[in-house]
Amino acid sequence: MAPVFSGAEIEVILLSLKVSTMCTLVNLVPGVITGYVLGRYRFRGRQLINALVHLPLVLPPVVVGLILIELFGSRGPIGKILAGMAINIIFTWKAAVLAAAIMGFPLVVRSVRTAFELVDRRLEEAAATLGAGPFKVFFTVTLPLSLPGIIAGTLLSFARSLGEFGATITFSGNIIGETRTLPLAIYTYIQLPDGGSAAARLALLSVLISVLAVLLSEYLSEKVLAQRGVHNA
Amino acid sequence: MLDLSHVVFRRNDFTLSADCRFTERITGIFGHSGAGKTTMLHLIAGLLRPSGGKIVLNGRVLADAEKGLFVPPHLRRVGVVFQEPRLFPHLSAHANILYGSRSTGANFDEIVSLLKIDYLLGEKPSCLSGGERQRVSLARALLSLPEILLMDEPMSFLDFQLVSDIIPLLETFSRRFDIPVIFISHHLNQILQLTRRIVLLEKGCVAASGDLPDLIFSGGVLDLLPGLELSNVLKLSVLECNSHAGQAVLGKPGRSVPVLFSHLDRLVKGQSVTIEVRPEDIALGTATVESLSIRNQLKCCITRVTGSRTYSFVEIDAGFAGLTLIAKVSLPAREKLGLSPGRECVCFIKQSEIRILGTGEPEPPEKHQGCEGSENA
Repeated sequence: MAPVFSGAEIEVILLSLKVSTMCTLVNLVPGVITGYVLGRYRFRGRQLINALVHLPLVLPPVVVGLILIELFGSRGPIGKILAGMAINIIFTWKAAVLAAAIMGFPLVVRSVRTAFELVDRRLEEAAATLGAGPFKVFFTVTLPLSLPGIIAGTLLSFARSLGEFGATITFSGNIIGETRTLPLAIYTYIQLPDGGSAAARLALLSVLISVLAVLLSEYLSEKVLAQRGVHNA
Repeated sequence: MLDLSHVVFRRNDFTLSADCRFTERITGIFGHSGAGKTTMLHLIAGLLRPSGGKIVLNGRVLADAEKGLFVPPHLRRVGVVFQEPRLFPHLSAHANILYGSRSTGANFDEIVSLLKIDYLLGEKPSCLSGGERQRVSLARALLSLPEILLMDEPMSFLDFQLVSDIIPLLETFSRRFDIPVIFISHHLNQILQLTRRIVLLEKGCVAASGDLPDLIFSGGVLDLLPGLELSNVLKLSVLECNSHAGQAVLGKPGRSVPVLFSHLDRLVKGQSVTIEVRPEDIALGTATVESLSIRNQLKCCITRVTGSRTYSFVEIDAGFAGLTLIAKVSLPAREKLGLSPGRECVCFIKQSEIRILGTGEPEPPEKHQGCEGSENA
């Protein structure tokens, strides 16, 4: 029996999973911190930070890719610093991770922010009266109670990065084995006269992975809630 | 000892200004809704920051607005049992109880056993009933060994039976672990089951503080709290149970003369019983009446009288039985009977007006002070 995917297609799939996983990990800690700060604190400039975080959601992805080139290109402010350290990001898989991470970041922040906002502050007060300092309150009460939102945001970001196209192709190019992720490969196959079936296979796989990610998110969230004895009707 | 010195807190249109001391083992804070009871508690616990004044607990300054000093709640050692149990939903009852515990395993076992929550330790809060949650919350606060325990209407959502079960335990815990308790409620009878020492809050101000009967008979309080629903809460023993007649005889332990007849309702001979009689359910007369259906007719002496424009409170002392009661009578009745301090009279209490608040283990007998006798026609 012939294998379902060719070697090149498997390479695309593995690269996509690698980029999406890395992007999810990269987004996790900054996403939780940003979500917490935006959800819990009122300070001057909060709205500006909020707008900047959400910008990738409303900007055309190509524009985000262009901004990244300006920042990380050899003449860009960050690119110059990195060049001085002999680090090159642009047109590498790291660029694909960065592009996908920035595009998925608002999704993590939105979900995490809402999760933190929904944590009952009275529980944190109760913990404080029991002698728990802010650090202990955060890690033993706030964070565990926000977990369903954090899981949902993280997996949403994973699924989003899997489908990221515009910013990735602009910032990291379409290099086989380096930056050609699933959507880029599908796009490439569509351009080829005999690439229709490969494109269809990869498209189907994309749908499958995305559905699995969403289902996993739902499953984990429900599991966390079930551990607390909360059952959805 | 807790000292609130000229403490001021403002939020929108509401201002709380408190200047009072808590020196007793158990003190009640009483006031109508919106009087500032919970705000005062939150200021003591450090959940709110006063804009003026000073809060000192056992010589330790917790807040001093002038010096900008504010000790955060986790460093105060002020335990709080909130109106709603506030259990951590992701932790089991056991983990909830141990959260913040500074206590030993022996204390854990004792508290869990007294509160009868040993069977539910593995459960999550969502699987517990309201009463079970509140008992877990109480155990959790006690095990953190606070220097003072604040209870903010902890019985609001509990049914009568649970309240009856928990209140006697509060007194036990306070004594056993030497933790002073401030108990907030707008149910005066709940406070009076624990203490007569009361801080009265009205419109954000401490209207009065002290022994409740003293406050009432020193005047002023009735005008401040016109709707004040007083209650006589008495701790007695079940001296006899007559199942044939369906009634119990209650009295002070060690005294030979029974004082009150009550319905037998779940009473057992020898046990202690806390009862409530409302002042308006006590009638006063100048002599016993043989031809009356009311069997509780106690000879007593009037010690204090006070009144508002429409009614009077009369404090009566049935010394032989070790009882002090407050009766509420109309002004014309007071004038007609000449009810004034020093006057001897008879108080009439219908059996059906005696409400059993709780029962417990037998109480040790009191020192006998001599009896005159009572009429139990």
